[in-house]
Formats: sequence, C-alpha cells, structure tokens
Amino acid sequence: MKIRGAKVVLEALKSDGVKAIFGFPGGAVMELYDEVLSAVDAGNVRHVLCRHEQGVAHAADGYYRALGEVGVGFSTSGPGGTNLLTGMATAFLDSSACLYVSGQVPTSMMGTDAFQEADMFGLTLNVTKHNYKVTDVNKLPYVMKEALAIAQTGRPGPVFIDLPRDVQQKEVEFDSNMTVNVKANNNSLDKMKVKEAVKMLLQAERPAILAGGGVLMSGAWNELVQLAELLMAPVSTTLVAKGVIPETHPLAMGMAGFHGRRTANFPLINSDVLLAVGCRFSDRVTAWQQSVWSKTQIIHVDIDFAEIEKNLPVDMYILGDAKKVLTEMLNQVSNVEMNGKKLEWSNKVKELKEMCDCNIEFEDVPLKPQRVMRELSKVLSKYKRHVVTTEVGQNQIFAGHFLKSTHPRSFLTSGGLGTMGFGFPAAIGAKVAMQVSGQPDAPVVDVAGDGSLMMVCQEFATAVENEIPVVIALLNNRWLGMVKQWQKLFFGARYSATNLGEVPDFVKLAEAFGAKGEVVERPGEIREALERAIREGVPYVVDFKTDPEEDILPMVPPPKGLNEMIGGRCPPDLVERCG
Amino acid sequence: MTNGLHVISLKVLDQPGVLQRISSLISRRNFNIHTITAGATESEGITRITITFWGDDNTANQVVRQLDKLQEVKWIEELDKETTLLREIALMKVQAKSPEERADILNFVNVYGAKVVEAVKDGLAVEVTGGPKKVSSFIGVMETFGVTQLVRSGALAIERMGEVTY
Repeated sequence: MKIRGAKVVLEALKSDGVKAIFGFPGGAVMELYDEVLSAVDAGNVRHVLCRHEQGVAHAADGYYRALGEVGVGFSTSGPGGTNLLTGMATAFLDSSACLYVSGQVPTSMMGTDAFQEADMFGLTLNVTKHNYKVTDVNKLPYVMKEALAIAQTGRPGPVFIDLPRDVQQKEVEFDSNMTVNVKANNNSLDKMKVKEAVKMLLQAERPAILAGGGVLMSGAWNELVQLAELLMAPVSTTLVAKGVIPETHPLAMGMAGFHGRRTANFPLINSDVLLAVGCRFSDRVTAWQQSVWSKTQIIHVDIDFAEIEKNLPVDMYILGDAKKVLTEMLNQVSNVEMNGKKLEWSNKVKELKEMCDCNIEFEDVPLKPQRVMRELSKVLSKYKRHVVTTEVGQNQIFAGHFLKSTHPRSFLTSGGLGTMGFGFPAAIGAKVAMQVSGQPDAPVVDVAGDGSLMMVCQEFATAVENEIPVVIALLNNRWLGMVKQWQKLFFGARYSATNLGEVPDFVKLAEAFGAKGEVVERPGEIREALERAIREGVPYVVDFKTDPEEDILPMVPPPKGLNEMIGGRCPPDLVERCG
Repeated sequence: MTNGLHVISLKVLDQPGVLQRISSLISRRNFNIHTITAGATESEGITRITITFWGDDNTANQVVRQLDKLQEVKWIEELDKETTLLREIALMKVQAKSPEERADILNFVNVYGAKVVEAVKDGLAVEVTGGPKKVSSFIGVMETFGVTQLVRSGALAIERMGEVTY
C-alpha cells in the first residue's frame, strides 16, 4: 500500500522503536504534523511541543543521552531549521545519536529564495554525521532507514533530513523491514594488539585509565570498572563521561582536564601506562602543554580511526567499540600477577582521592556552590535512577567537580560545543526519556546558571504543558560567572559585560509559566528545598543565591600544562603530593 | 614529520552534494589543499577525486581518516608518489613579440612535448601535460616570454600497472 511521504517518516520512526518526538510545526511541515497527530492518536509515539527549535534540538539530544536511544526532532523550514543548528552542532561534538527532520519549500520553488527557504543541506553539512536533501519521494523510505542507522551505528552522531513539502505529499510504497547498508567502522578487532596492550598494562607499575564518552555509548561501564579493579588502576573521566564509574568508587578519580580535579589529572601524567578509552584528547583534557603527557605510554582505544593522533601522539592504538575491546582485554587479563609497585601506586592514588574529597560543608551566606552540589548529591543518592544535566560555565564545572555521579547516563552536559542553554531542554528530553521507559519517578535536575537559564527560559512552558516535572537547581550569582572568573584571574578584574544585574525574579518567572519555585539563601535549607522540588511533581526552580566571588578552582591557566594547576581550596599537602 | 606533497585518491559515489561535502570537510578541518580534481571512472556512478596538498605525514593521515568517514567515500588511499602516475594539464597564452621569440617558444614547445593550440599575430596559446614538476617548469620558461593568461587543471593520479624497479 502506498502512503504519503510524511507518513513514511512516522512509520520509519515507529519501526525503529522511537517513543518520543520533540518538535515545533510550521508551514513547510503541515503534512508531517498531520501525520504526527495520527501517530500520537494511535498511541505510537509521544510528541512534545517545545517553545523554540533550539529547545527541540537539545531535548532530543538529552533524550538520547539519558536513554541511549535515538533522539528525534522536527522543525519547519527556514528559521525552524536554522534554530536547530546550535543543538545539532552540540549533538555533533558530543556524538549524540539524533535524527533531525526539517521541512523545506516544495522542490519546484527551491533556489528561488522562497518564503522561509534556507539551504538547510548546506547549513547542516558541517554539524552532522550525515545529511540529506530528499527531492524524490521514492528515495525517502531508504533515506529514513539509512538515516536512523547512520545516527546509531559506530560512533553515534546527529543526522539531518531536509524534506521538501511536495515530497511529504507524494505517495510511495514503504516496507518497514527494508534493510540498509551503512558504512561503519567494521574493522575486526586486532586481538594481537589487545594482547600487547594487556601485557603493557600488566607490566606497568603505575597504570591509569582515562574514560571518555565512548564508554557510555558502547555501554562498557561494567567492563571498565572490572578492568580498573583487576589492574588496580585509577580511573579519570572526561566531563561527559562522568558516572561511567561510580564516583564513590575508591579508584574513581573524577573529572580530568584543565578545569578538572587535581587528583584526576595526577594519574594521567604520572602513570607509566595510560589506557585511554573512547575519548578524543580534546584541548579541555590535554590543556596546552602536550609535553607533560610524554612521560606515560598511551594506549588509545577508539572506534573512530580519525581520533587516533588527531590531538595527541600515542604509543599504541586499538580500533574498535569500547565494550568489545574491554571485554577482550578482560578475557586476556584473567591471571594478574600483582607487583608491589602497582599496589603502592594504587594506594597512593586512593589516598590522594580521599584528600581531594575535602570538607565542602560550607556554612557561608551567600551560598557556596560546592555546598549546593554536596546536598544535591545526597538527595539524589536515594534514587536508584536519576539524571543531572548542566548548563555551561561555572555551574557545569562545579557540578563536574563536586556532584557525585554514581550511574552512567546520569550526567548530561555539553562538553564539546559548550552550549549555554543546553541543560534545561536536555533535562526535559531526559525526563521524557524516563517517562517513556517506565521510570517516571527518576528525578531529573538541571544544574543551571542564571546566564544560561535565561537563554532557554521559554521552555518552562514546554515542561508545564507537557507535564515534564524537571527540577532546576539554579546557581544564581547574577554574573556570567565563568567569564567573570577569567576576567578576574587574567584580565586584571576588568569586568566587561559580565554583570547580569538584578533581574529577573526566577521564582516569579517560573510561576508565570505555571511552574513553581522558591528562593534558598541558607545552607541549612538546601536539602529540604531540593527534596520538596523533586516531590512536588511539577517543574520547579530552586533559586540558590550563590556567592559571585566563589571561583571554580583549581584550573590550569593558559598556556600551561596539566601539571601546573592554580588556586583552589585544595589542601596544601595534596597540592604538594600531586606536584 | 617531513613536509612534502601528498597525493590522495578517492572513489566516491557520484551523488548530488558529494563534492560540496568533501570541500566542506577540507575547509572545516583547516586542511590546506593544493589541488583537487574530480572526474568519471570506469565504473558508472563512481567519481574519482584526486587531492594534492603540502603537509606532514600526520596531516596526511588525518585527511585520509576524516574523508574516509564520509558515507559516499567508497575507497580512499594516499598514493605513493614513486608508484603513481601523476598528470596535469595547463593552458596558457604566451606573448610572441617578434619572429625570433616565436621561434624560441616553438623550440621549447617541442622540447617539452607541449602543443600549440592557437596562433595569432603576436602570441600563441599552448597546452602542456605532464607531471606537476614538468608543467611548472614549462610555465616558468614561458613566463620569460610573458604569459598573459594561465590555467592549470590540478593533478589526476592513478596507480602504475607494473612493478617499479630501480
């Protein structure tokens, strides 16, 4: 039976098991939205109307990151599509499997500068894993299937489809069982290399592991922890990989990088063999002096050949899915002979970790963000499943340092692109993911800054209208805090365009949308307020009045290396021992 | 890392937007391309693209690995210059201000195996094909007479059929 192009889109999503779509309609997607209504009525899928297409893009991304299933976003042509771009680039840099579809003017009008026409194919070329401009409805069934496969195969990534209106209207046969052939990283695992790597790790006196987002995407967290325990190797993570090892684990050193924890950076550059899995050695991790990495022998495991030596020279690489590689490593590592040196090293890093987990029960008013993170960790630890998203800036790094992530896919942040305004819509997407996967009670909390939240505050309406009870833990210091911090440290405290003044009243803002909120000014009130926010079951903002002078430290001042971190509240003996 | 001229050859699906995709990637990754050519091959629906650029080996690896991620790229390899046939064509208009100069030019055209494709009273249009070095060298000679217009095709490359022995 022939169905129209618009229906092909919905049928393909259905056959892929997609349970939620985020979107915003318009003139070029009239047919598509007509089919959305049918699919929603039939109970096939849930549609969430966001209030801006950037919200659509981030919500789909948050949905993927929380659930590990493809996130889907729809928009109309022209401005609808261009508004998706920031979210698409965000998904691209953090390798999120998303499918974005935007309408387009009819093929007969393409290229005429028609109303709401933008060259979305050209615009999305550089912010997607792959993209399409479908001008023939006969190609649409294959394109839909292929797009879904490409987004989720190998290294995940966003895929974009530009869908002219007449293609949505025309009819075509659709076979939901159609198979597609997608180019993937099919390299068979080089077991000899794995063997060699295992040998290096076993012989190492000071082995360490750096885990990146690839561990999340391949679901390799159990294997990672097992391997770390066998090798007695400390595990540092990238920002996006927070939670792949419970941060309560004695070997979990926390977030690495130039804004990372001292104890997470220490093993990276002081190990003799470093196993880096599913990470790309971004400049946020390596900092600016690559030479400090040369003391350790690096084994780089990644599914993407292009990541090998893109940013940092390595001693050995293994191509493959993190889970497959780590499983094979575990097979070969069964009989570990522990040398005393390894034990000494392992004990040393465990001690450093304990020293680094210093007292952050600050009683100050205005609040210290560390204290808020401490209380949030405690509240969330009672829930088996929970998700935290962050915005970008100091809020993100405070969360990176002080929030104890205990589960994979429970910490969602824009690590690569650093997109302010990601956290709130991503939280909405994550909460929907919890709702459609039978975990509606899993709390979802956006750790926000007042600068970031203002960029996407229209999404309160989305959360309220669609009954998506996310909590916003707002670190409200009335400044664009990270930029302010840099101005303080490196620009002689000349504060240019970083003071946000006194508006708005975020509680009133939330209430205007039908959400709830409260202000918290005292440390003793933090925990109860968070518990109340989660319990209320409606979108809820907790407006924490935080200290604008509290910087997020330590950090590596550019252009220095990971071994030269400055400042912070780190105890002097920790600083000394991390040398 | 040695800097040198690298030759990369790709077979890609002949689909709308494929060249745009490749050139976008090259630009996004900040690769400094010397020449890029595209043309039909023995297989229908397959376009062969030759890219040459100056850079170190690491950059060459990156160019190959990044391009290899594109869905339309079916085959890609860096070609070894020693075992590769590399050819380009250049067309130029050369001034011949006197009969003596014209004779000189024709002499060089002969030596280089170039070809005169048009002759007018005070000038010649000349085509030359060959490896990039030969083409550059010929252009250098012609410039001593005065080249008013010049266009080079960029390199085409194909692997040699036979063994190369020294």
